[in-house]
Order: sequence, then C-alpha cells, then structure tokens
Amino acid sequence: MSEALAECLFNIPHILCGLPMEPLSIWHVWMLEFVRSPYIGAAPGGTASDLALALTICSRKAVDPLEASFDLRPSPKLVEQIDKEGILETSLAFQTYLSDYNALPKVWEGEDGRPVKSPLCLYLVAVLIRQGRFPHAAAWKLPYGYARHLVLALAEAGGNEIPLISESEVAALKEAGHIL
Amino acid sequence: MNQLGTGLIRKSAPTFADYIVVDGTWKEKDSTMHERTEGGDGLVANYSFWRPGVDCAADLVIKAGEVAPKIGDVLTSTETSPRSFVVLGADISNFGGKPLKVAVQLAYHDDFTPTVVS
Repeated sequence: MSEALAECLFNIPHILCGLPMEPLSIWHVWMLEFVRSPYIGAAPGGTASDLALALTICSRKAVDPLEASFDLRPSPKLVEQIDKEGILETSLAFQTYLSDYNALPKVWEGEDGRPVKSPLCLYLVAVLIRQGRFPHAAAWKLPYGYARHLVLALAEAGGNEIPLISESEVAALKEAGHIL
Repeated sequence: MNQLGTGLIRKSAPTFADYIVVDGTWKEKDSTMHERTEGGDGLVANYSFWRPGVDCAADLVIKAGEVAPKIGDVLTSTETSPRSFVVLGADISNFGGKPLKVAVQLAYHDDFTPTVVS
C-alpha cells in the first residue's frame, strides 16, 4: 500500500479544543471551500473566527448536502477555548488533521491530460456515483483523500493507464533531492 | 561459458552523475549484429559478428538542479569501467510543473567515441 493511501486511511482521532474532528470527507472540504476557509485553497491568512468556523464544520458529521440544513455558527465557548489554547497551536493542529486525511495520490503530469472544469468535490462525487455506483449521500461522506485514491483506481480498473508515481520512483526522487 | 570478445550485458543498472536510475526500470538487450556464412563444401559454418553493443531503456530521475537529457546527448556512467551511452529517445514526465523524470532509449557500442558536431 502506498504511504499516501495508508496516511489518509489510518489516523488517530484528532481532538481540537475539546471537539472530536470527523474524518475529513468530500462534504467537509466542500463546506470549507463554501465558507472560503483559508485552510483550504490559496486564501491568505486566518483569524480566530476562521479557525472556529473550520473546527465547527469539521466536527460535524458529513451529510448529503441535498438533505440537510445546518447551523455553522461557532459556539462562543469554542472561540474562548481557541484563545485559551492559542490560535497558532490550534491552527497547526488543525492543519495536521487536514494533511492526515489529505494525503493525495501522486501522478505524473501528462501534456495530453484533460483538465477538470467542474468543481473538484462535485467531480469526485460524480465519478463515485457513475463509476463506483455509490449512492449520492455515501459519495459525499467518503473521506476526501481516500476518494481521490479511489477515483484513480476506478479509472485504472476501467482500462485507463494512470501514470501514478510508483514507490520506486518516489525513492529515486528523494535520492535525487526532490521534495514531493 | 566461453564468449567471443568482452561481455556486454550487465545485470545491474549503471550509475550516472546527474540522474538516478529508477529501480527495476533498467533493461539491456545485446544488439551485436551477426551473419552466418557456410564453407564451400557445406560442412563448415562461419559466424561473423560486428557492431557489438547494447540497446537500453530506463527511467531516469533528474537530480535537483540538473537538466533533462536530450536526444543526441551522451551519458557516461560513473562506474569503475564507465560506459558512454548515446540518447536515442527521451520522453519527459513532469511533477509539480517541473520535469523530474525521463524515459530514455540508449545505445552503447564497444569503442564508441562521442563526437560533438557543431
């Protein structure tokens, strides 16, 4: 098993400011994108309220976005707890949680690849429904990193050649001084 | 086993100063040419061998700070008995927007002397 796959499948429970974090699902990433969280994507900076919002989202159970309504307001107690434990420390712990579930498969970039134009989370759900025969809700709840691995494996199982970076290549790249 | 000339095929991959051979990708095939001629009475067979060499294929990872080899480049191994390979094919793969790996087709011949033609 690749290191990245193992990383996003096997994790210790993450508890931040007293809140147990849920396994980071496609829904969680979608919600973090929806609120333009600085912890996902390239948005700069991050305040205590950004962090409280991100913790609130990731402590909720993943749901089917078509069937649920949710209150995303962080509790005042959470903001107090973040202040108490330190914004920087909590932020680093949250980023560790994200990277634990977000160890993505590494693929050689081809010149003839077709870029995905749909939002990535929606694209993943679409592939999981179409190729993996997942029900809509189950697809949204799948752990994000695992879903990325699974979508590539489904493509390979469908007869496509996926230029995954092999373990031997990873070893050679490290020996050659590259950071992946 | 008796062999005419020097053995050409080596089972282990060579090492290069600027590239790492990806484990398990080095393939060598003897490309020495030969021709059979028979004596006049049909009882003697002679074999002529010429252009001794090997054709090779491998995936090379480019060391940090180095550039990808191009067709026509000469790669000299860093072994005790170095060999000089001419690059006949080079297919580059990128990661993170940078060329990091190249699948090469190489040829090596005995007495091969690289000559740069400008």
